[in-house]
Amino acid sequence: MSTDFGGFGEWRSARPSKMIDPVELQRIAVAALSAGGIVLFGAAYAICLALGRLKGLAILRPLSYLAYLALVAVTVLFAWAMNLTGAWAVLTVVLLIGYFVAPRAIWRLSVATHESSERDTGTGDGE
Amino acid sequence: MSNEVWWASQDFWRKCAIFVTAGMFLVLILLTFHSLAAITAGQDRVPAYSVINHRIDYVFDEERNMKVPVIGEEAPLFGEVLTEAEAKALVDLGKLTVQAKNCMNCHTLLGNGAYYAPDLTKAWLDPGWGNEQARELLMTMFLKDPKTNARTYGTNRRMPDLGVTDEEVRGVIAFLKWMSAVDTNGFPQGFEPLPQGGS
Amino acid sequence: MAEAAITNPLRPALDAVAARDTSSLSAGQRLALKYFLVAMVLFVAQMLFGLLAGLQFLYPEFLYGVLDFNVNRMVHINAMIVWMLYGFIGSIYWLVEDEAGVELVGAKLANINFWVLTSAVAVVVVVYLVVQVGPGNKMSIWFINEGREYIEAPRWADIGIVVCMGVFFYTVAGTFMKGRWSGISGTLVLDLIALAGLYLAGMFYTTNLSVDQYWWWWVVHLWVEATWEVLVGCIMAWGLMKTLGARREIVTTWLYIEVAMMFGAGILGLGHHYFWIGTPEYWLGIGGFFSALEPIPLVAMVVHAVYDAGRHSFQSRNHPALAWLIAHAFGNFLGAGVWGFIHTLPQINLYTHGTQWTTSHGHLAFFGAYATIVIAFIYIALQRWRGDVWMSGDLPDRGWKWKWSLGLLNVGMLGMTIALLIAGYEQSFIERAIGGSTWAAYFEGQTQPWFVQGMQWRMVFGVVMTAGLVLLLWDFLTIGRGETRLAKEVHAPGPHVG
Repeated sequence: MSTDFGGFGEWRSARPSKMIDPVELQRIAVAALSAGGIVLFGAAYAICLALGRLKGLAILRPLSYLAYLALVAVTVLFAWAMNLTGAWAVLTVVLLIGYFVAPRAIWRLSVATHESSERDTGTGDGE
Repeated sequence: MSNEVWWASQDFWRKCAIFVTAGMFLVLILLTFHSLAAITAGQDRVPAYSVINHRIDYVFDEERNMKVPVIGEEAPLFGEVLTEAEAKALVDLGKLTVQAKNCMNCHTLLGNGAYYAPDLTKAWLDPGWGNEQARELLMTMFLKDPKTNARTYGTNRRMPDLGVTDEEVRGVIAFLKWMSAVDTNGFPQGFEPLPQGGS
Repeated sequence: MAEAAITNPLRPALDAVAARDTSSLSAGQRLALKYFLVAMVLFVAQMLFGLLAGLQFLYPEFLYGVLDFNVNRMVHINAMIVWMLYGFIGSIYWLVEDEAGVELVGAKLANINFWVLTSAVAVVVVVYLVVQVGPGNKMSIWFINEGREYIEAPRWADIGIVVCMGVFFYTVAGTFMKGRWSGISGTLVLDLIALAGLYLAGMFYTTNLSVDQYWWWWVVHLWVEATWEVLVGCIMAWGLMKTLGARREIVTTWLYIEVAMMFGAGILGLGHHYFWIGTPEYWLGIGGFFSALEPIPLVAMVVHAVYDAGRHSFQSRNHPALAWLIAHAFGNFLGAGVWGFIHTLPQINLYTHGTQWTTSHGHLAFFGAYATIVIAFIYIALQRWRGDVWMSGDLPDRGWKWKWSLGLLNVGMLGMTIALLIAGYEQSFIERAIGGSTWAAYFEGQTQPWFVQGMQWRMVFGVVMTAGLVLLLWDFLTIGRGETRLAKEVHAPGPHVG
């Protein structure tokens, strides 16, 4: 009896190259810790950037770049441990750009939204 | 608000929120149509229910870089070849039993559920059953009387007696066999099935 | 201060349960208090059944055959979902009249609705505990338990929930229609439609487990990681205006920005649940990519928080609420951001999916994103209820109850999360990576010292949290009572003594 169980064979032959390369056994910890590092250094960079601009503290500017550099380092480690090769390399680039640009964009947005509204109303909603 | 920049205006962001949400949701709906077609039983990824009439193996696929289920020669469950409709009815009974007995709040199915007891995705193929000859009997005994035939591997975590009937036991086993043939993109990692064919 | 210490602690509790003066509150606010009360009862239930389930990991014989792990765990997670929903509903009823500028539409109906919904919840829980499981047929799914994690509620209750949500929606949307609309209320109402609509995706039975889990994740993910987030965003927007005097204009714009970013990454982030359930391989790419983007908005929003706090030097009229809002910011960042991102890519999720990593992430993310915000809102409501009293610094007995409960609940949760993560790491290593995910490998992982100690520490921190919850409830019952000073004017400098 040869029932057709669907296109298992067909599906496989239509596949492009492999989709993922799982993390090596020894690198699970590195992969997870570097991932955590990305988010934490991203936050450190964002905080230094925002506080530095807000309070005009010159020291925080180099610190923010230092935090971003650390972010770059852990992202490279992350990409290595997670085997981000091929199309996955796009993710590495997007993460690097995203974490750099997004806090700056949000800063500009903060300034723009708050200032336009301040001109408008003196005080808060408060009704 | 005369010199407000457009990209900081409330109006711009309201539109953004609407269009981003609508756009992403649309993409999700399109993908859903494709995915549902692919996971219909008997299609690309999920086997027909009559797969329970066959031997199921789990082998590494070089090209996909993951293990995939492979449907082999005829090996009927409980020695009885079923039609697709009969097989579906049996698997359905198993699925209903798995839901009614709340299996998912101890076990995981396809990795989802609770973590108090082993994942059931490849339970049918688990090497713990010893060999293919003993498997059906051992599974039946375990499900019928999990207290006496406990498989706790030294943890003392026993499955409670859930009052599963004979027919429900057959259904659950059929469901587990069917589930082991679902293509799960290599999950769970590194799983080695019990010896195929021989003892 | 010494007087407070020797006061019978039961006295205020009894007072509170007995009739209280709610005459100063609107109909919606009185209703909100009822929702908050049930939410807290369910919070206690969640904690209690969590403790039982946690103990069973250490002592498997404990309550074996009486209240098995699956029952305790089901009540634990269901109580959580429902108390948070009750918290959201309560918060919305609290703010709807203020936001719309008119009285609640259908107040009587809304009241009946509360009792119907609450009775249904009670019946469901009793059936969970007493009947527990049924035979393998549709009757069990209709009347006992659907057996699908998080949405176990039997089908009759599903239908009941949809009807009650419909009534809730009618009263809320009706109130806005009668009164005025705002950006916040518009977003809120649209989000409620999505919330109710998504629930329908979980209300059918199918033999095909892959199809089952496909739609199941629509409910679970698109609730928790999309519509709930926006709901909380709306509630918080209103809360920020009321507690800190934030400007509506700004708050609304940022609500839209948040929705755009949240849905931009979160809707397709759903794909990280479609890695291993039988769905096509492209989900590995889509789910991995979009869920990896999810923390970026969270991180970027830090900038806005810093800007906002630094620029306006807000004066808080409600210290406990503000502290819980800050706990929300940190908890959400760590739980959803850090804990989510470390195992969201399929390359690592293959090892961590279905292990204690998930438990660890789930605990911190739910608590940080939602428990905190409901607690903060309850403090806002209590302040008003107790007569719009002073709740800034310099509280009687230095506000030790709210401070300690805040500390114990957060330390307990963080400790539990770290303990579970260590157990999860060990599990993915021994069971998955080395052991090849067999049953024998599973149990081998469960008996390793790191795992067992992780479970023990989880229990310890669970008890810490429970102590925090007891204090929190005590504080809810007592804070602001006997206070004669009026709340601080959020726009005026200096304390305002009334």
